Amino acid sequence: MAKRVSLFVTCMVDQFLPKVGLAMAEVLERAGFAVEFREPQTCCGLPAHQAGCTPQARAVGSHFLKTFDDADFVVVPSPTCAAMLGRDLPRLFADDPSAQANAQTLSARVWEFSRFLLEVAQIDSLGARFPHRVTLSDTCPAPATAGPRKLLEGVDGLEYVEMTGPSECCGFGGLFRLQYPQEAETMTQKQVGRILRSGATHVVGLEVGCLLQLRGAFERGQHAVQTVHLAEVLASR
Amino acid sequence: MSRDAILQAVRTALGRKPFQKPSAGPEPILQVHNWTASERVEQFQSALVAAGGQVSRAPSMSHVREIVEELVAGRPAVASLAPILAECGITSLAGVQSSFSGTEALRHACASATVGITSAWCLLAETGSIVLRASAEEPRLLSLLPPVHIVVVPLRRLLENADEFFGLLPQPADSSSATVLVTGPGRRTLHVILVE
Amino acid sequence: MTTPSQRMVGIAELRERAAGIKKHVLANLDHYLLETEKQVTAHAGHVVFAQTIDEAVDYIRALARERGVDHLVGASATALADEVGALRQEIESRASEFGSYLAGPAAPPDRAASFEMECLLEAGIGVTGASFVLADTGAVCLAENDDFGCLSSAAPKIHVVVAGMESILPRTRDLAVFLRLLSDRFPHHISLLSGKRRDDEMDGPDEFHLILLDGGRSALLADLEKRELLQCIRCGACLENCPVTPAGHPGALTQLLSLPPLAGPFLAASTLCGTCREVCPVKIDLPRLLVALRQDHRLARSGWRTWLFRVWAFLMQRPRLYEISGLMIRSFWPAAWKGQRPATKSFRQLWRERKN
Repeated sequence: MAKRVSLFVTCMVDQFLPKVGLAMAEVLERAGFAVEFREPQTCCGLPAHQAGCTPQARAVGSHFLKTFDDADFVVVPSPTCAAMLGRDLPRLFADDPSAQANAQTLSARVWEFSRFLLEVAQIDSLGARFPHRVTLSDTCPAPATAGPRKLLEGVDGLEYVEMTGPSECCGFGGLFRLQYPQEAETMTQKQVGRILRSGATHVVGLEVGCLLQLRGAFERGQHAVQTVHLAEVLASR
Repeated sequence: MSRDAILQAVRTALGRKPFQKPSAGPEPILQVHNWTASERVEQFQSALVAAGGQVSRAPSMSHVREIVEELVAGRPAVASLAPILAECGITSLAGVQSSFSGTEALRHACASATVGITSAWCLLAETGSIVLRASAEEPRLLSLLPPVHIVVVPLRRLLENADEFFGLLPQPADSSSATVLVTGPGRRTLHVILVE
Repeated sequence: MTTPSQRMVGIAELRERAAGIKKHVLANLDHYLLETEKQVTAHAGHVVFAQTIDEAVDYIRALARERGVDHLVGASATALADEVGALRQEIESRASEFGSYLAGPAAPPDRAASFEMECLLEAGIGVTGASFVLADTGAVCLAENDDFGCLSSAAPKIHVVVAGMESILPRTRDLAVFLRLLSDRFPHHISLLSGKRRDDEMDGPDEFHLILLDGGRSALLADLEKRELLQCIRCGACLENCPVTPAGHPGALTQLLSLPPLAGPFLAASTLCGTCREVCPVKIDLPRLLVALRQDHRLARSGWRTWLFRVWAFLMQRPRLYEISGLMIRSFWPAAWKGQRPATKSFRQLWRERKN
């Protein structure tokens, strides 16, 4: 019987790039899993946590815990949301040992999408085809990792080029770009420059926020580079 | 009393009692490359030059005097009482003052000199550094005030790096009030003469 | 005596060791304060404990008065704004009653350096900071990109050091680890100064005073979550590498690394990208601490963010309301924000359609 995985698509995917969630579901089904989507899901609480609004982060985190209480695997198309749920959320319940234990149990079952494929599903190739020149924009709290690159290697027709400084911050930073738009723009333009110099036609990322930030910059600058999430690449035929 | 208040605040913060022994702590990591003597010389030269300094090699003590005379070029100079400087005949060069009647005279001479000539306690190959130790022979201001600094050092004093130096440093540092590691000329001109 | 190790270790291991040594000192700080005091005193130096920068200034002022000193000279040894910079401001603001001045810059390495010889030679007291204080010998270590600290300690008759009490290291040879980690370039000038001149030395100070400054450090020590901040060796690597703030501009890090940490306007000026943590020689988890500081700030005062997130949390716990809000936001998205426009249909809408 197929193992069951529960999708936590993230609020950003839900509202801004739902095709990423659909792509992720397709890849997981192709990998032999039964995929479910629990309607009550909303957000992981990261924006509140980063802003220092701990009670609100806890409240929203509790809602997550309730929603996914009995899930065996929760797969997330975002390393920062996965880190929030896996690492930071239990710490928010430090003053409530039973809630913390509960959070820790569930957090051990939360998986970022690429790590789930490599470590749980243990597959690095899914018959995907994406015949383009591609560069990877790493997620900045995690330095350049081998996992996503390995998955891209298994994609037919894909030509991979490395940009300089792939894990330098793109300037999205959640609320940051609204409060410090000039600084964010400077950082985004630096990454745009690096991507253009790499010669890639597509930039692959793991964070929807970063992809949106870059997409906006490419459109404003009228560059032809396309932004795409790793899940979409792996779902392509 | 601030002293007691602060110590008490620290102990309370750490949950430690007065006179409690410290816990065991990690040792530092000291690393050496085990270079040969010629590797050390080569490394020292390239590091010092990369840092903006100048290096000369004197095959013997008699050559040193010539080199120094040329570098000094008749400008007012002060020199330390390091034996090697006298042995090389530097202290007898015209215009080089090496004896001072007292601290005030020394300060004044160093402040008005263009060139300061000293030896060094040792050299560090990895970084191209010179190590100066204050002593009866080597006043501090000689190497600090004049805009040009000439250092005359026998090759046998060339160590590998700061790690080797700190491994060897006499403890406790009773014998000198100041030890200085200088890497590169900074705002001045630095010339090191390596003597065989 | 430790014999040099044969193997060459990588930066990761060095950072781990450096962090370990700093953690050890902090965990036993009272012991190391007393050891330092013992050693400095044994070399005929004076040790003073100051709870605040004002106390340090008062001590220096009293000393100057007692010794009939009119002029001071001073320099800071570190890249980050620190107590000697604050000291300079304090003294300059009281210049009329003190008749003194502080010359020589507490300058960042990229600024052109200059030093006035006259100031140096006239000064009766030289005031410096310290990069490290060595408990085994009672010496202070100044690691500088120029030599002003060294000059300030060598020329005047009295040398006063103002050192944060967290800057103590157990042994002189611990410096081998930290100097390797201090920067891409080995510091231009590293001075190990152990008190007044020895009897046979021709120059150097006649008096040595070490002011060990608390200035909020004991409070930080008591804060288990933020104690890690005291591991900071003021190398400036985090500031140099932060992608948000160009060099020299204040930002989140400047506030975080102030003592005590400042909950001020620039806390939000960070994407939490983690570059600072990756380059920190003593492995301080700076992004985590920045979030902790933001948490303190929220608790202290409810700004617009608190209200924003209260509304947000209300919605996020109620899936139906969340969905309706999402629908409204998508319908009324401003054209000006076209670059980050939301999708026409949400994922859950598409998922429902997919199932049917």
